[in-house]
Amino acid sequence: MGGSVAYPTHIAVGTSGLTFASGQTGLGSEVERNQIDTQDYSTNEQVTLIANWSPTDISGAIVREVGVFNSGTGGAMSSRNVLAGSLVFDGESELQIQQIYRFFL
Amino acid sequence: MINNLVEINSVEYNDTKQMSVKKSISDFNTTSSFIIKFDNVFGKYKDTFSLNQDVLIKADIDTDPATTKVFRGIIEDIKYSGEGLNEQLELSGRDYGAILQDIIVQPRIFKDTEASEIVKSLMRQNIQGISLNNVNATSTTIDKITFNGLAVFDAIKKVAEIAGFFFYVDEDKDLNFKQKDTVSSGETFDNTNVLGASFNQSDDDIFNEVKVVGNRQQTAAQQIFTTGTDNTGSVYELDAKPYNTKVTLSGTTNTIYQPGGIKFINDPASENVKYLVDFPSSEVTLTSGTTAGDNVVPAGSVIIIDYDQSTPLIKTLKDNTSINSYGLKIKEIIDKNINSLNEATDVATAFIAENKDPVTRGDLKVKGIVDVTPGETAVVNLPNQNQSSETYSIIQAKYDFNSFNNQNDSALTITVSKKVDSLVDLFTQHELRLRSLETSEVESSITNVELFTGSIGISGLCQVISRSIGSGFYFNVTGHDILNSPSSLLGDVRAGSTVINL
Repeated sequence: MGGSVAYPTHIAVGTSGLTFASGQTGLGSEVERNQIDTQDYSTNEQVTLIANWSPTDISGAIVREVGVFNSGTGGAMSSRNVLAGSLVFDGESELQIQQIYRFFL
Repeated sequence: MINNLVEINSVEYNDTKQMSVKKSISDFNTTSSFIIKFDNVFGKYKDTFSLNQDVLIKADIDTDPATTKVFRGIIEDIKYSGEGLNEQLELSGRDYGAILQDIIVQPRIFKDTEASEIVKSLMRQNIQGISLNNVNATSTTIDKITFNGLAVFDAIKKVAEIAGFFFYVDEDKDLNFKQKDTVSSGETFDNTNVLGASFNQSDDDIFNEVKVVGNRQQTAAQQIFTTGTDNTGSVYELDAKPYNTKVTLSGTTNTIYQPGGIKFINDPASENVKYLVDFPSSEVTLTSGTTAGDNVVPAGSVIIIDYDQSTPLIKTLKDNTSINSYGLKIKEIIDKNINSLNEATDVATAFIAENKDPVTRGDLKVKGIVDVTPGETAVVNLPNQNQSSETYSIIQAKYDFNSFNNQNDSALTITVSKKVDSLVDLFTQHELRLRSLETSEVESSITNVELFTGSIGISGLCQVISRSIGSGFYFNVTGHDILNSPSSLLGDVRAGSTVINL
């Protein structure tokens, strides 16, 4: 690990099920990006980033991927996760993404 | 036969005239050191060596060339002497532990931290080039420890003493931090491999009661005097020497007397001082004078005096078994870097454990063994000196490689058990005390940023949590329209969450 980037500020969700690969710089098909509401440092050597979506935010979307970014648009992607299946939002569900990073020496 | 060789700056030399290595570890020791002598005929080695070059010494019995590393360090001194055919060159220096002695730690406080983590942190923050592969975890969590103006070596020693560990920098430039007296060298010294021995027992270093005096702490105190009953005249005698004094006349509305002054310095005749503090006598006197006015209160008036009293942090600990056996021997440790009772207790406990029993020291001239590590244990079985399979800690190993000793496999002299303090140790002790005093005024609120070179791993877990808000809404629904009812609901019809771990 070397260099530095600005700390994560946003979590994005998307609809692409494209397999994760190193070198990716963004989601396959981003639908919406929300600001991180909570940064939890209460556990040693761990940080939990939490972002929330209301039912109307992504109503009708089929969520297949999640990414963490350091900007509201563009920016550097810290991580990307792909769902094994998909999660369909029909306007009746809230969504919360919790991204946990654990650090070890 | 002992074979030995030296590599200086990765170049092998086999024409040394004499080599000696001294490796030692104790309460107040120096790191290992070496001296190498070369014949420097007509300046053969006049510009071959330079300061800070790496020195690796290997020695083995009946293995040629030698492969066992017995010392690694750096050249710190180069000395030329003689002339012509008698020219000599002497190199000397210390092992890589010397680096720990030369660097002063950044001021640092650790709280509730496991001892080996403190050692690692001190090393990462202050030292480069020495790895930490053999820093073993301890079962000791230190409540609070303060480092201020200490060399890294002395700081780690402080931790090691509390944890009952010992440490050294090995021949691979790796810091070893291991539990004391538990690592066996596997060696037994008896009449088959000891050429000469001397043992002595001394009670000079026995201490079975210790008084640890730390920094002074100020605590608030309040004394209430009924004038004429609890005092005489205008003088109010306090229980302790007062700091930050505040004098109040109690009444329906309290009246604070200010400003105050110092007895024999401020004069109420010419200065507006309502009361005078006599610090050495622990007294407060209400004044009466031309400028100050009449501040003396009539009998029955209640005077409240708030002040801070300064209390030294003292922890006393003793070992009755040792006192019964050897008589009372008291040691006072004054360390103004100690700011909490827990810290003082840790220091006192470790000191008593280390010093309650008498010191036995043995020096052994050994044959047929070259590789020992100070800090490890060995068994000594020399019945004529009252040593019947006794287990000792090796505290010093001294190698003298010369043609005679090499031929006789007798280059090694070891010292076992606890080291009896030498003059050098006493100087070191005084130096440490002086540093402690000089740096004790630094505030103990210390912020540190620790930087180190290495790799950090990151693992991630992503949780997607969805929860349906339902399609209904509780509002004026029968059974849910009762005010203050614990079972009455208002709002959307929420279901449980679905959690997907990625």
